[in-house]
Amino acid sequence: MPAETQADVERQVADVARAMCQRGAIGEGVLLLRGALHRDPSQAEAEALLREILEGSAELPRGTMLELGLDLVDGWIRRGMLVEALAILGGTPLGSSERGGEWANLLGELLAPVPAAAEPVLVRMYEELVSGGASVALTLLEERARVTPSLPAWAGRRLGLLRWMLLDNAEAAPSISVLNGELGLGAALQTLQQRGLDAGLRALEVFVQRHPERADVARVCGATQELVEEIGRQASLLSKNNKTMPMTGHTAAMLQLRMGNLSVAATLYRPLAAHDELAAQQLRRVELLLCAVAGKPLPPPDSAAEDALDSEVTTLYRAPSDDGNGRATAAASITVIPTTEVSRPDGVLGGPTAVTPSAGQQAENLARAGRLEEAEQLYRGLLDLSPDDVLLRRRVEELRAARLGRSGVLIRAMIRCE
Amino acid sequence: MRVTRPPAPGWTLPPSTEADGRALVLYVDVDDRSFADTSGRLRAAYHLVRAQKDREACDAIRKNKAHLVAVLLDVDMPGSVLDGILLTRILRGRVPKKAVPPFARDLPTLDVPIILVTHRSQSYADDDMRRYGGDRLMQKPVEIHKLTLALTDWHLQRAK
Repeated sequence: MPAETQADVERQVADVARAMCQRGAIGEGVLLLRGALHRDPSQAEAEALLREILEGSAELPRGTMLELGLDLVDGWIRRGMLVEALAILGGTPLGSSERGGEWANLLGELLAPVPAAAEPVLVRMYEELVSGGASVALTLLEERARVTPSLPAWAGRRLGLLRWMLLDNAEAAPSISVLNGELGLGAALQTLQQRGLDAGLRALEVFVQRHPERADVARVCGATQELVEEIGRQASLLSKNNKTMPMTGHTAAMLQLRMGNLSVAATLYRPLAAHDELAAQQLRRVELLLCAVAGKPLPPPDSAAEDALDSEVTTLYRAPSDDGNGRATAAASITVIPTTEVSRPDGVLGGPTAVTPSAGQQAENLARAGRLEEAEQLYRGLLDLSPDDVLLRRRVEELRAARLGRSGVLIRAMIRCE
Repeated sequence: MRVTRPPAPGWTLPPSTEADGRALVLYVDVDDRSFADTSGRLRAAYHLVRAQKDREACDAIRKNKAHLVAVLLDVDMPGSVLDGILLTRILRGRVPKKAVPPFARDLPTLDVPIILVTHRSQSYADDDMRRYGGDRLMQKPVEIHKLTLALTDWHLQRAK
């Protein structure tokens, strides 16, 4: 059954690794997990399984073994999981079949190290290939192929192989009508969809750098960057030490964004957007990305609703016209990317702080609901962002004391209310 | 689910002797047929430089060290003073200088994968090869996907 979401893929990787170890292909199973973790270090199940296998303590399933077939390998190849696909072919009888053997050899060729004196862009291409960024690698090669001197023969061959593996087309790549765009853009958006925001941002930046006339793509890139930066600002709230997985609110939406689940994040932001400006901004950014990856026309910039950060942007947006063959002509637009900082509004505790009102309000809501530990964790996260904030520090101490029962006041108040 | 794909793209493989920028691998083996087999299987992505015996191997390493991505050493190396295991230990800096033959004394230590190759892989344990400083033991002739798997594993372990 094909994996639908990132969580499905992670589970599938662990199951396949176990199946391979069960079959005696421990080395290939280990490489499969290493490849998966290199692609996405946040896969906790894969990390734990790798550790257990290396320690010799892994519990392998008995009884019916997981069916491994070429459709699984094909699916992983199309997702850019080339190292994992090669590990399956190398460690199971699939690699001895006619087609499997052919694919094994082709992947062996594609993932071979580049020459020691290769150009930096080709070294980067290799790094992207072994870290799941096949789409980015394809973009890099496509762009490099357009300049002189021409690609070395071995690199040209890899370009052809990547087109075939990812697009079923070894010849000139067809246009992919995403944002009325082109192969490089399609590959970048595929990276965004399949590998998450950080990898998608890198791919989009490469495209924007080489196509500064594409204001629409710059807009998508800007929105992606904003989302990545917001995740960075809230990083301490998203730490793995959180004992509970929030199901609603900003933190929940951020966690989904970090995992690359754009549509789930949008669902979580929608109820918040009506009364929370940050949530409304985030929702607009996420919906812009969802339109882009789905190949839908982007919503026009709404000058009233655009982010404060864009207030100094001068954008002349014109939807790219079609040349009659589904390919866009270059959009004549100018975009000025803002570089000014925007100070955050005052926090709920009064005084200028770097605290976002929504996070503080959320913490107070949690405290009122008796969820003191979560409130304390949220405030600790805010304190990490503003370590000199005396009021925040006092609030953290109050919550901690209440949680440990020292003050007794809050606990007695809660008991009186029951 | 039936997998449907068009045929894979074909291309004209570069001659084995042509240095066209493919990744450079040193292959040390006295057996001409083994070299021809392996070279043919690897040449889509790797350019093999051949050495038949230990002295030639040491010279090739000194000359090509900066460009090598891997070394494939025959375990036995008949006709040589050093066998593949001992040469591996020397290349990893695990043999005291006074115990190293003169032609191998100033060899640089290598930080690329060293893969030992043999027709009799069942006679050797992978763990033993690692203990001597090798990264993998492979059956001759070496297949391209097996070599790439080994090199990728080496790369991922160092990228951590």
